[in-house]
Amino acid sequence: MSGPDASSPEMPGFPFFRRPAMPLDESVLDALLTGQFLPPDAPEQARTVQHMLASLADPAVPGALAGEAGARRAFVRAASLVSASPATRRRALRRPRRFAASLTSKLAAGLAAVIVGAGGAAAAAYAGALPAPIQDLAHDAIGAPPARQPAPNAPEVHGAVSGQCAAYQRAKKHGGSAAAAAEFAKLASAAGGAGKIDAYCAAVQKAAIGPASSRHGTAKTHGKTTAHGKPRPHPAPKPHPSHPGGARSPGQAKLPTTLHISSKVTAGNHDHADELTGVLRSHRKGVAAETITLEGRAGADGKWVVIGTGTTAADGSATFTVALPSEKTQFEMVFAGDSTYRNSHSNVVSVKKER
Amino acid sequence: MAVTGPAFSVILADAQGGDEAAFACLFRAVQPVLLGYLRVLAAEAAEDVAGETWLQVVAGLAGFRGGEDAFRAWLFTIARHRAIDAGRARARRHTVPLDQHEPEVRLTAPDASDLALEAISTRTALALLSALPPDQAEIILLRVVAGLSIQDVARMLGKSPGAVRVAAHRGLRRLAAMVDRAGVTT
Repeated sequence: MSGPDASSPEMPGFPFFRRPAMPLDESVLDALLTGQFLPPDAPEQARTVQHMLASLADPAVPGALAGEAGARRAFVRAASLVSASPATRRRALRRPRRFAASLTSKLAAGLAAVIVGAGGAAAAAYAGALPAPIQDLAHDAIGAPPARQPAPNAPEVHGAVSGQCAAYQRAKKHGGSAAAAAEFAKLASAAGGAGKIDAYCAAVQKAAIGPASSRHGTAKTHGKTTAHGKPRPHPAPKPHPSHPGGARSPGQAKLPTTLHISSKVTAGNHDHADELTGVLRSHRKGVAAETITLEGRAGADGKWVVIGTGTTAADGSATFTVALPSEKTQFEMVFAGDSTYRNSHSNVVSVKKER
Repeated sequence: MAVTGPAFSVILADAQGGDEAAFACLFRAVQPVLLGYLRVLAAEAAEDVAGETWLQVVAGLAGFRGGEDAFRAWLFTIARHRAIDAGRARARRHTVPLDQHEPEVRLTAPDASDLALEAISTRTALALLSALPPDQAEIILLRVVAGLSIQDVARMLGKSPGAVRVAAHRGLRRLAAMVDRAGVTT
């Protein structure tokens, strides 16, 4: 396919909304929908769409793993508050924690989590820290230096390899490895042959898990990534005052809330009514004396309108009684938040009078 | 799409037991997709909303029970709620009254230059998805990219499974038409 369409200046008017849709047939659409590999006669556009969507899941694209440090910090803080005994018991039954070593090779091949992150295997590859055969594979695929050269910094990673590993493994799940390998010829050549794709992808993943877990060892105070299988017991678990597990990011003083709505149909005199109860909680405790707004809409496509407001009781609940609608109606509740609590909204419930 | 596959239950149990490397595995398997989803739903707030999502996931992780599909559905449901809340908070700061059409998600229209790119990139994918009607974009992100089941997507969006499939097909057809028109190739 060549370059941009000559009518690009028309783009602001989005001409494709006026054109008839591409005649992709149902089977191709379903294949895209379920992540199966496409049949050989599928239109080029379908293939392009599939690869394009797969790139959104690609961890090797710069920025795809942003926020990892913060999430891990939150995890470590939360983990330190969990009592050690159930985990210790579970751990006693389990293989050692370095699961890159503990998983059988078959399991590792099936482990389709592509961990080649910007900083995982990529950094290792550029530093020459991968085992030699993998280093050479990485050399072919991502232009990393071959095994015997030292390398300075890690430039941006070429995303093709890991994205293709992920797409290939998903396709294999549905269609068998021979067909999937034909589809991913580039991956096969990087791996040194169709039969080696599994091993290649697994090796890249294994290598990534190892260096990654030790890389963060220095920054941590709990030392959880040392070779020990047991969690070190925390001397005194922190209580939850106004800093619940330190889960609030800097500069954000408000407590998170959740709002859950449930619906109960009650029998009245002539008509049935629907009792909608919302429960507002923060850190598993009800939040009282807050204003909750009930909203509803007709069907699943109508506009949301405010039906009423209520105030939460001591347990955080607020109940609204509405006449049972004859058409399918959806309800949700909203808590607007205040200086102490963050806003939240509930799940959506659908209600309709049964005849 | 990256899935953790048959090793998921092992990784989850280890993470629930406090194993940071296991948690990193869960994070890395989901974060690219989560960010992609949130970039379409919450634009520049995507990383903040993702951070809030992980805080909630971390808080609830020990009590979570279920397989990988359930985990993803749980996580993306949290993300969706946080994204919508972020949208409402933004709108409320501009004092939009509640009973107006709710300021759901802000989708950014694609640049003509994005569409003219010959190489596929994440940015292009997001640009094209942002040009779809919001429902279709969400469904494609959740079903095709994040790999949630049609049932889970239907439940999250308050639609029937049939409606989800129809909307997904429409969105995919439109994406193919955009791709065709712009001459984009892999």
